[in-house]
Amino acid sequence: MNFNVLRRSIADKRLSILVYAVGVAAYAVMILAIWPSLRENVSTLNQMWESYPEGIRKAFGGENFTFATFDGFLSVEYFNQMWVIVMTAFSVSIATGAISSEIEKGTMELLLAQPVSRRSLLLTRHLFFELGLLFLIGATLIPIAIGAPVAGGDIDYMGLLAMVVPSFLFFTAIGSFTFFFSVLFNTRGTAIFVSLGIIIISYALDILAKINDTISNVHFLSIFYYWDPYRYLHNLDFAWVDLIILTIIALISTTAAVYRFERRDIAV
Amino acid sequence: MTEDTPNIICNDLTKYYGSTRGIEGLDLEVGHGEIFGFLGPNGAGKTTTIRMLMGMLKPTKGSATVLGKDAWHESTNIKMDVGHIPGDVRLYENMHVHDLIGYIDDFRPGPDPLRDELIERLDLDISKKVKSLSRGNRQKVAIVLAMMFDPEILILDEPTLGLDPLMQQEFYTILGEFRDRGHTVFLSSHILSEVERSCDRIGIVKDGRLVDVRAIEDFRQNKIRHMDVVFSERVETDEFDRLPQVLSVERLDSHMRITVKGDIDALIKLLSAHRVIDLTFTQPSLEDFFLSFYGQSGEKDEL
Repeated sequence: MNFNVLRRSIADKRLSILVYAVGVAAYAVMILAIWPSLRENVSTLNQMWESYPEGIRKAFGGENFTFATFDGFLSVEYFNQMWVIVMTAFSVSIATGAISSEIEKGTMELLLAQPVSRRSLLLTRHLFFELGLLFLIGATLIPIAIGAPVAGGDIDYMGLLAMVVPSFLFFTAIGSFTFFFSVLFNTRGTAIFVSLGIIIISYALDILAKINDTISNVHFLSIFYYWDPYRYLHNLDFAWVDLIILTIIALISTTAAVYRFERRDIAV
Repeated sequence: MTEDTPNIICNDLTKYYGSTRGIEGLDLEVGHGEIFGFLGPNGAGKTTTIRMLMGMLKPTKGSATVLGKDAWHESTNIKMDVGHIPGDVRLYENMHVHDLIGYIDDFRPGPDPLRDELIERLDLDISKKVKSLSRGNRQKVAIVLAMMFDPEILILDEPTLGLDPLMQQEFYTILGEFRDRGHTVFLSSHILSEVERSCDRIGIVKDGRLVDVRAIEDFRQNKIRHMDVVFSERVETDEFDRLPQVLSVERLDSHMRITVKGDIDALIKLLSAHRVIDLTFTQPSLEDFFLSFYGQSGEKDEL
């Protein structure tokens, strides 16, 4: 860990992280603002929801999902949609900016001409990414915790707190394999293209596996298989196996990134 | 590492990029208190060698040690005492120069003894943003970043690119002071005059191979140059031809071209016996230099 690199990363990216934080917080507030008017029409919404094919319901809501509860509404309207998109964009942006962008711009040569090891540099940038993740998760959950009673939403605060763990591990896993591609390629564009490609294919596999039983046996190959916010918000039930798998993905990806970064040539 | 151990040792240092040759079988030693010039045309393998010394590239074969440590495996430790200017200087565009200097400064403990002096001598405005700097000013920033902590070794790839002649002169003065303090400089260039005026020894690299290493005095004594002289009256070529240093004399329109190798003192004395209207003494290009020293094939000719 190199404090100088960490301090500089925070100084360089503080505005960008602040914009992300304002974005996720503002969207959370908007969702809260919609809830009171929607609550009046819960039965209509549920009827509409029940009229969808089972596959579609499984794909976008999950098991035992209902619009009747605030946490169900929050899961389907925020944590399974816009929030995943914004947090994925943040993860890919920070991870590709950490290594491949510096190689592409040539500043990596300046950085590695200083007494900082490649391992230390990568792990420091990874730590910075994780601190950023925690900040954004906080910027999302704190407005919800404060605003839910005002909006008349019935929320389990322990469930909301529990959301920190799967959220952190899920996006750490996404960020970690993006770090690997960031180390692998010389240009940020290629790293983004490959990482986002895998994420989009993974998302598509998740949706298709929920709709189509014939491919449900490969559902576990999608990282989104391990992302079920409703489970945590509603039942406060930790899916330990899922969390361990996400941790393993993060650890293997980070180890592979360090291994590759320590052995690759740095050439503009 | 003892005092006698060279600061830089390359042992069969080889780098291939796939099937493309970077540098091959480089054996070289650079000692304490020495400015070593690594001279060669573009694509000869100079930058590849420097990048391996800096631990940016992994050698395909052989090894390089800097300050007694392996340049690839112990790269981080080496950099505590090594300053580097890359051939293509890239800086953080959105930072102010003083912030960038502060950032690089914080990688090493203690204050940087030369920081303020270098900023003043190079006339660098540190309040500006990097992205607003000219090519020359970026080069000055790179010089400050590489030298401000008074490193034991400087590894410089074409360090005067973009500097105006006055700043180049100041830079070489700074390098000389650096050498006088017992430090080592490894500097690459494709400009013959630059290497000649600043280095103690030169290594000549061509097509990925080190073809010669010699002291600068030896180099000067054997260098072939052309002197174009315009006389006020007709002067016979024979008297110049008789000088042992003169290789050839040609009469071209209004002037005489004398090709001379090594010491020019006798030639100057002979010229002074005539009324000279104009005289130009051209430095050979790198291509001329290679042709005169190594022939078309690149093989070393007998000097």
